[in-house]
Amino acid sequence: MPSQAREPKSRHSSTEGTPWFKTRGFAESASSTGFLVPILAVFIVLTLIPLIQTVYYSFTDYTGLNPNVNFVGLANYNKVFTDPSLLVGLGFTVLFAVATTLITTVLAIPLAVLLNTKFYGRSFARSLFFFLGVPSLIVLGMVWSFILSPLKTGAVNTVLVNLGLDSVPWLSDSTLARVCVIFVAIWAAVGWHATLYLAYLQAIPADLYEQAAVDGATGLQKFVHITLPQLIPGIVVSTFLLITNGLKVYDLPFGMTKGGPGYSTNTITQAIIVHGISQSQYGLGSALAVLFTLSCLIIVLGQTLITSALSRRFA
Amino acid sequence: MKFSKSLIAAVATAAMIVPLAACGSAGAGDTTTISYFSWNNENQVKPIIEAFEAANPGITVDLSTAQGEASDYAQTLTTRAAGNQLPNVFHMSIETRNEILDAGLARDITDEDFMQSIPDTNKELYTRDGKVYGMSPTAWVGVIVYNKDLLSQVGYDSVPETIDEFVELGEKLNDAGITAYMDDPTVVSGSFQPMLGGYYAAQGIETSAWPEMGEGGTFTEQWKTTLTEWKKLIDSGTMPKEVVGVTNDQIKQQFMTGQLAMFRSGPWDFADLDSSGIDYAVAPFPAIEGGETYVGGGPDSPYVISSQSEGDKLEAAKKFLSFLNSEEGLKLAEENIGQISVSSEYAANVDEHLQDVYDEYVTTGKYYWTNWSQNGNVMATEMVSQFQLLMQGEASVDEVIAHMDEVWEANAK
Amino acid sequence: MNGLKPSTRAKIGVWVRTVLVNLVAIVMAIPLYYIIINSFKSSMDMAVSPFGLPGEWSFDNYVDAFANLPIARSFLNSIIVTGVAVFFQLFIGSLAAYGMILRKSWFTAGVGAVLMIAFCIPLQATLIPQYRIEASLGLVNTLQGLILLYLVNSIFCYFLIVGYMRKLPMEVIEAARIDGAGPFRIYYTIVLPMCTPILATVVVFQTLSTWNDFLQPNVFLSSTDNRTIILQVFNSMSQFTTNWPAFMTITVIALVPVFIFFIFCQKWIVSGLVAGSVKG
Repeated sequence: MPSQAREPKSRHSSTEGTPWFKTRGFAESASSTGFLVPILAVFIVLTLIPLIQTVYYSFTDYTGLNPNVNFVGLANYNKVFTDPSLLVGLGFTVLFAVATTLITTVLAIPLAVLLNTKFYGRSFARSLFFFLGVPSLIVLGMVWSFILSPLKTGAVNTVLVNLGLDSVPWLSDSTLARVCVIFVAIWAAVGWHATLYLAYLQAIPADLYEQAAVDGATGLQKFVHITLPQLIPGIVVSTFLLITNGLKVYDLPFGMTKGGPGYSTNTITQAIIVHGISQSQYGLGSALAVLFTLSCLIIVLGQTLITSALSRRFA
Repeated sequence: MKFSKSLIAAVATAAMIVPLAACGSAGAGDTTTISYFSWNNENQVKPIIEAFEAANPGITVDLSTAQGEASDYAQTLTTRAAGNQLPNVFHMSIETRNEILDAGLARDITDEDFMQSIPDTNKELYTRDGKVYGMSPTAWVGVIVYNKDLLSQVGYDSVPETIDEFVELGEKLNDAGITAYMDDPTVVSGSFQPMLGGYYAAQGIETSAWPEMGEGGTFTEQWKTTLTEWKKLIDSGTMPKEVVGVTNDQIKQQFMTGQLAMFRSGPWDFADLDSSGIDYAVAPFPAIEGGETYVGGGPDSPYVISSQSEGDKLEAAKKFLSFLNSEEGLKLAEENIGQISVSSEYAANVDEHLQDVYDEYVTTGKYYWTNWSQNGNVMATEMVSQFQLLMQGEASVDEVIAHMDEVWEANAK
Repeated sequence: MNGLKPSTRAKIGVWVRTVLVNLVAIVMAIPLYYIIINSFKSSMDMAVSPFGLPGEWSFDNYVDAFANLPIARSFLNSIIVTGVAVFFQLFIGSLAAYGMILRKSWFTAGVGAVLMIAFCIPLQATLIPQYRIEASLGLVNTLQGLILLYLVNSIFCYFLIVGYMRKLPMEVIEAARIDGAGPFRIYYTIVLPMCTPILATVVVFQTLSTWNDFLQPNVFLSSTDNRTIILQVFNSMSQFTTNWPAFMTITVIALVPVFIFFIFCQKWIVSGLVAGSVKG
C-alpha cells in the first residue's frame, strides 16, 4: 500500500517542524478521505458511470428507442469525421470559444481600468455592465433573435430603414449570424468579467503606482508594467471560465438561431443532442460526445499551460 | 458566520418544502392516471383533456407537451423511451415512425372499436405487416394564405396557378414595396412538397413508392425538376433570402401586420388571422412546368398507445382514444387545433376560408407530403439545412440533391 | 492640454470618462430597455415601433400573464430547486476542499486530478445515461431528480473553494486540534466561517447558474406542474406565437427576482475569487 510506504517519511519529517497536517497518522488520513466521499460519490454516479456508458454506446448502433444494441466498432467515429455538418459544428464551437475568450478579455480589462477611475455614475455603470451577464442566456438569445431579425421589420432594421439605410440580413447570412452570436455572447460576458478584473485591480497596492509616478512612468507604462502583471491571476481565472463555458455553449445559439442558417451556428453540444437524441442515433451522438470530451481536455490543458507559463514569466 | 447560518436556515426550510410539494401532487383515491405527451401546445390541448376528464371521472390525464416547438418532440420522446418512461399515449410522426415501430414501442390497435371509423387512407401510413399502430382521425392541409387587399393593389384577385405567373406576381409585389411570399425555413419546405406532389401526379409517378425503400430512383432523378423550378421563388425575390433566419412566428406576424402578401399556412392559423382583421383567402400551390396545382397535407400525426401500457392504464388509454375519435373530441380538435375530421364519427365543419380548397383538393386526394421510409428525422433535418444553404446561395440545386442522395445512402440500413 | 493645470486636466478627465462610460453602458442596456418597454405595448405597436415608447401604456400583458400561466408555481419550483441544490453543492464542495487541505497524499492528489478532468466533461456527453439512471430510481420528472443532477456542480464549487482554503492560516486550525476538536467540528466551527467570502461568491455564482439552467429542466421535467420559470418562459414562446409583447412580459417577470437577488448580492459575487487567488 502506498500509504504505508509514506508513514516512515512523515514521522521523520515531523521532528523538523513541518506543518501539522503532514504529521498526522492513519486516523486523519481516514477522516480526510471521508470528507472526499460525497464528492466522489457524485462524480461516480453522475459523471463516471454515465461516461463509461457513453463510451460503450459510441461503439454500438444504439438508437435510444430500440433496446436491441449491436456492436459496430468504429463506424460511428468514421461517420463523425465524414459528416460535413458535424465538422462545421466543431469548427464553430472552437471559433466561438476562442473568439469570446480573446475578445472578452481584451475588452474587459480596459473596461475594468476605466470603471476603477473616478467619474460620475460609477456605481450605476458598474452594476449595469455586470447585470448583463446575469439573465438566462436562452431567454436573452430569444430576445436578441427579435432584435436582430433579418426582416425589414426587425428591431434594428427598422431603425436602419428609418435612418435611410439598407436593412441588414443579420441572422439569415451564415457569416453574419456567426458574428451576431459571438457578439451577443461578448455583450453578455464582458461586464461580468470586467467586474472580476475590477476586484483584482482594487487589490493592487497603491504604493506601486506612487513609486512609478515618482520614477516618471507614463499611463501606458504603468498599465503594462504594473497593472497587467498584477492582473495575471485574474486572467487565469477569467480565461479558464470563458474557454470552458465557450466550449460547452448551448443555450445562446439555440435561443438565437437554432443552429442555422444551414449548419453555420451549430455547436457540438447541439449536434450531440440533435443526432444522438432527436434523430435516434445515440451511438453517433455518443461518439461525438467522446471526441468532444477529449478535445475539451486538450484545449483546457493548453489553456492551463499557457496561463501558467504567463504566471511564471510575470511572477 | 452570520451569513452561513442564515443560509443554512433558508436552505433547510427549502429542503422541508420539497417532500411537501411532492406529496401535494400525488393523486388521491381510485383514479387512474395516464400520461399523454402531446404534439400540440398546451393551450390547444387543454380543453380536449378537460372534456375527456369530465366525461370519465375515474381517469386523469397527466399532460405534457413538446417544449418550445414541435421539432423538439422527437428529442423528448426518445429520451423518455430510453429511460423506460414512455408516455401511455403519444404521437408517432412520419419522421419517427420507422424507429418507433422497429423498437416495438407502439401497441397493435387494429381491432379496437375506435379504429373502425378511421378511413383506410389514414391507416396506411401507420400500418406494418397488416397491423395498424396509430389512430389518426384527422387530416391537415397546408395552403397559401394571401392578403386580398395587397394582391388587388397590384391588380390580382387570386393567386396564379403556374410558377412562372406566380413569380411574376412576386415581382410586381416587390416593385410595389410589398414582401411577396414566405414559408417557414426551419421545417421541411411547405411549398416544395405540394409542387413535388403536383409534379408526380401529372407525370403519373406513384408517390407512395418514393422514397419508399429506394424504389423509383434517387433524389437526383426525382427532385431535380421540381427543385430547379422551386428555386425560381428565391431567384426572383418572390421569397426573400432573408427568410432564412426567421421563425414561423415572425412570418405570421409579418402577414398579420399587413407587410407580407402571402405565406404558407393552414387552418391552425385561422383563429389568429381572424383576430388580425386582415381580409385573407387561401389558394393551392402553383404548378411547376409539367406539374399541376396541389396542396400540402396528409393524416395528422397519429395517437399511439405505448406497448408498455397495461391493466387499468391500458383501458384508460383506450377510452382516451375513443374520446379523441368521438363527435365531441373531434369537434374540440376542430375548434382548438384546426384539425379536419376524416373520421365517420364526425363530419368536418370546414372553415369557410378553406371550403373551396377542401372540396377541390382534399376530398379528391390532391395533397402530398413526403413519406420517408427510413431515418425520417435525419432526412428531414438534412433537407431543412440544405434548403437553407440553397436559399442563401451557398449551394446549388445539383449540390443539394447530390447531398441528399449521399445522406440517404449513408443511412441506408 | 499641456498648458492646463493638473487639477483642471483631472477634472476634464473625469467628465470625459463620465460621458464615455455612461454612454457605452446605456447603449449596452438597450436590449433590456427593449424587453421592458415592449411588455407594455400591443403586438401592432411593437411591430411598428420596436424601440419607441408605447402609444398607450398598458398593463394588460401582465394581467394576462398571471391569469394564464402558473407563474407562482414555476417560481416556487425554481426557488426549491435552486435553494436545495446550491446548499448541497456548497456542502459537498466545501467538505471536499477541506478534505483536500487536511492532508496531502497520493490519494488526494489523484482525486484532485480526477475532479479537474470531470469538470471538463460536457453535460451533453452524459445526458442519456443520466436519464436512464434517474429513470431507474424513479426520479425523472421530479424536482428531487433535478436537484440530484445539479450536484455535479459541486465539483466546480470545490475548485472555487479549495483555492481559498489553501490560504487559510493553519495555526488556527492546529490550535483547535490541540484543544481536542475533531476534524468535522473544526470544519464546521472554524474553517467554514473563515471561508465566508468565497462561500458567498459560490452561492451567488451557483444560484444564478442553477436558476438560469435550461437544458436539464427541458430534458428531465415533462409535467407542466414541474416547470421552472426559465422553462416557462421558453414555452410561452410557442404558446403565445405571435403575441411577442406577452413573451417580453413573461421575460420581465422572470427577470425581476434575478434582478433583486443581484442587487443584494453583487458585492459578494467576485470578492471571494480574488481573495482566493491573490498571493498571500
